[in-house]
Amino acid sequence: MENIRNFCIIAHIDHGKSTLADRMLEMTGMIHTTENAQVLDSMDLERERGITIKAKSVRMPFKSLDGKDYILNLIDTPGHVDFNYEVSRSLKACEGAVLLVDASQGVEAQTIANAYLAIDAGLEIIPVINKIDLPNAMVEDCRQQLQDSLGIPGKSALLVSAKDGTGVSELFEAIVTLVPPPKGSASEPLKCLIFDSFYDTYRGVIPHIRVFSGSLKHGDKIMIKSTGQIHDVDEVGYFVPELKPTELITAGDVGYVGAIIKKVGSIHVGDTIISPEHPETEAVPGFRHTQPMVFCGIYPINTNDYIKLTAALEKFQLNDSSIIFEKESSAALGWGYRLGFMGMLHMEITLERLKREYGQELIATMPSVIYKVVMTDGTFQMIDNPSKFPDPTRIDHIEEPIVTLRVFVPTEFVGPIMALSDEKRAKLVAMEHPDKKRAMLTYEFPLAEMITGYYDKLKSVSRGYASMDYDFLGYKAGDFVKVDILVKENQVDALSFISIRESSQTKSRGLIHKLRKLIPRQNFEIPLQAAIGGKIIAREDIVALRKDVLAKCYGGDISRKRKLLEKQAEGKKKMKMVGSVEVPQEAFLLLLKMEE
Amino acid sequence: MKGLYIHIPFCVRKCSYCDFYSLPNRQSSIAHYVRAVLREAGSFPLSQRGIKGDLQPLKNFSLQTLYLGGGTPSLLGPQNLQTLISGLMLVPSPSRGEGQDEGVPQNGEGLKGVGLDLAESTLEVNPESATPEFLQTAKNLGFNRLSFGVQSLSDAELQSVGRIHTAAQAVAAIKLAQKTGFQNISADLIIGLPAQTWHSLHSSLEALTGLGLPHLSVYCLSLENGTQLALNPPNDLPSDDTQAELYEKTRAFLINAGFVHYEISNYARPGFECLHNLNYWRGGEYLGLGPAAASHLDGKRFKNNNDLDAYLQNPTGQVEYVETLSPKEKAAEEAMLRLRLLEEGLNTDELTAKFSPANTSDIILRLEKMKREGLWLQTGVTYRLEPAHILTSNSIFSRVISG
Repeated sequence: MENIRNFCIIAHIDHGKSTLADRMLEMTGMIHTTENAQVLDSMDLERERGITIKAKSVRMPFKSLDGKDYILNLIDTPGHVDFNYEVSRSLKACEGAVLLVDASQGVEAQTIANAYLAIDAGLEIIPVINKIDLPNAMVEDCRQQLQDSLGIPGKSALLVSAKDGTGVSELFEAIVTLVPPPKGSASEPLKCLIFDSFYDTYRGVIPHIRVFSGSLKHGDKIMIKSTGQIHDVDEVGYFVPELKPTELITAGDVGYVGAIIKKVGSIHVGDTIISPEHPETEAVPGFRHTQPMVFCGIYPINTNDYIKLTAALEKFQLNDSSIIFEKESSAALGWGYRLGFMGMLHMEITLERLKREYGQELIATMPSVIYKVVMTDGTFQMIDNPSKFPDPTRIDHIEEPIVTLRVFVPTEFVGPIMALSDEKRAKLVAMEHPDKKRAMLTYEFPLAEMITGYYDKLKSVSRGYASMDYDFLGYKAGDFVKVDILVKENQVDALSFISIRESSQTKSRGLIHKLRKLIPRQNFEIPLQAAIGGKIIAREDIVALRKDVLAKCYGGDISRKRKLLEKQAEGKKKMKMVGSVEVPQEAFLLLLKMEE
Repeated sequence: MKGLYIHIPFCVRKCSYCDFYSLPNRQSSIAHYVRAVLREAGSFPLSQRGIKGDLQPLKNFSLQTLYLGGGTPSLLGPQNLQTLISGLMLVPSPSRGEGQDEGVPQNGEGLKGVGLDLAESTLEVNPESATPEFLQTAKNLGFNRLSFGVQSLSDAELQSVGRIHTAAQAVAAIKLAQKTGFQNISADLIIGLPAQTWHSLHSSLEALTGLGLPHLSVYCLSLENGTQLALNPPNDLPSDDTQAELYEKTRAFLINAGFVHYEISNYARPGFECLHNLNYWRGGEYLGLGPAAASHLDGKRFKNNNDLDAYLQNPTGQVEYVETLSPKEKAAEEAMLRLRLLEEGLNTDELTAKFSPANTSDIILRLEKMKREGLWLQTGVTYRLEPAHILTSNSIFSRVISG
């Protein structure tokens, strides 16, 4: 155990974490050539967006200058704000953290957020300044920022270029020297932390574990602490980075355990695996069931594809147990599912992956948060779907989720960002200057405002320089109303939304106006209305289409015109019917992005 | 009922809205072209042209209508027109001397007082080329119907789309035709010309009905891909909504004047409907000769390439495509075509008799459903388009075709 080092790399997005991981794998002979392979990010979409969504790990042999052989377990962490909980679980599996800062960008919001998570987890922090090969590297500034904003001695930071390998050997030595070896004993009762899992068609759920005490081998029985379920161990092993079975894994090790766990929902990241012989073994602290923060409805474009969608979601959940889904039906869109996500980015990526990997054409409704609706009788309901809001006369008041948002930004953008945040009903609680050039704004921010395009706008007003990080703070009461959208007197439940009363009319007008442009003229007039209860607060009409006719249809035209009509019929099949009105599916997709 | 269409792909100048296959500045090829058409006409059976089947359209072809369209058929002039028609007379057919050689007939020969003797033979005429000699030749050859490309009787509107004649020329040409002995005369008009108003359209309608024409084709202008008008649409083009208004007013005016609105774009005094075109809308068979000409024979639709030079070289080897539809698709196609006939409509019993119940039951179910939405007028088993829905009939026909 003395020669094991468990560590992770933490960084702001795009600061080079995956490249550094690749380089380390290459230098320890785990992979041969990389050519930007980013081995740990195996999903296409992750690579495309440069985001690691799911934590993974790899075991690397390393011979140090001190002549000894070491086992280095690199535990990869998700790099996005939506996955803070997963990050914190991965950190729990380590004794040390490499804190990576991009020399050209400096310390950013997630650098700070992740560094605090690592400090809270009691990890040894090894500061590293990466991308020193870049012409605009500001090494001294970075040292100063580490010192000023995190209290980490900037002078001690290692200088690395993960791209060309400079300084990586020194980093390995630092990990061996500075990161403490794992504690715990193989002779004590079994205790393992589940920090990730994936689903294998033949072997079921495979938890990724860090063994804190005891040992595990084929034939052992294990117990899931939170549920008491018992499973038979079928295989144990390490990640190299693919699965490699071994006889035994023991205290201090990082690896996996296969136990034919077929039920997807039975394994949760953060849970503890113990021995059924010692059910009293305490759980690794900090386990909680993750709570989705953002919800949206998804519907197959062709209602006959509902079964296909169900199958796709079930399969999808095997690889991302953080999404939750339940059946829902919409008068406008038919049968579909309500999905819960860890955040906006998680939602976008999931929808994209569903489309891409499962070939599903989908309509996604506008995202919503969970509102806490307090009833006049004192009870409350948590509502994740505007169309499910109870009768307003029974509502005492409504509360919305608030997050603490930290925005890290060069000082010249403070003005625009404050203006943008004001628009979004954000309350500034602190403004700090970690260094001369930059400010950190801390807000109490309504989550509902954040999920509707705030991040994109933040990036755009700061020309890409702002970075942000958030966590859930609590619920806060506000004057909310539910706005319904009616298309030719038919309510489109999928378009209902919750708004604070003050801005409900402006929002409604915006939405109705967009909708008018998205729905093509039809053979009759179509009134579009927004209503609160029975009161119409916005209206526009789509005038009837007056001319859609083939004037000429003679001998030479017939084949061509028949095809034209067939094409028109095809197009019609892709429409969603709202009463007698044909609404193009794009209307729903575009409205999703409509928040202006 | 079978029709013969001959395309004459020549123009003095291309009108800015026109997307028919027609070339300006090629009149020198006309004589050559007439010989090519006659070669194509004499080239059957079809199997020699790469089309499967053993059709011999002009042999055993009980021709009832002939239509010379364009382009500008009146550019043929008297001599070429005579060559063309007399040549066609010599194309072997049972009624006209089977056993004669199947080669190309000699120019100018063979008419010998025997004119066209069909239920209807229409010649398209442009006002500026309607000379007395030409009209008289047409009359002598047995043409019994003329269709004038008038388009408008406002000189400004005519100029705005590149027409090369004036309103006065059009009126004079029609009068001349009447004097030559033609009664069955039609004129084309366009709704939606640049700067057109109801006032100007109304004047055109009044003048043409005043001349006693028994037939009018009134088309809504559409911007076809690749035309000058689509490339550079003028600012004063009436909107679709304005076109719709002009269409409704035209319909009311002509019905009031005693015309029957028998097809979406066609009006006739009773008994003067165009038989050749009715055949198209009733799903009938026809043969088309010339580049870009289309045919419908033995359940197949096929069409020649749009290529005059290739046609001149090899008039019998120009088939661009052959379309063979399933009986179900064929039934739907015919339903769609027949529903363009606003008075005659679609008789579902007749459709079923022609295509069998298995191929028409879905169509009839759809028609019944749409009837409940008020889209049809129904008399027994005959469906007719409800007049209020004529202008938005595309969405209706697309439902007839595929649900």
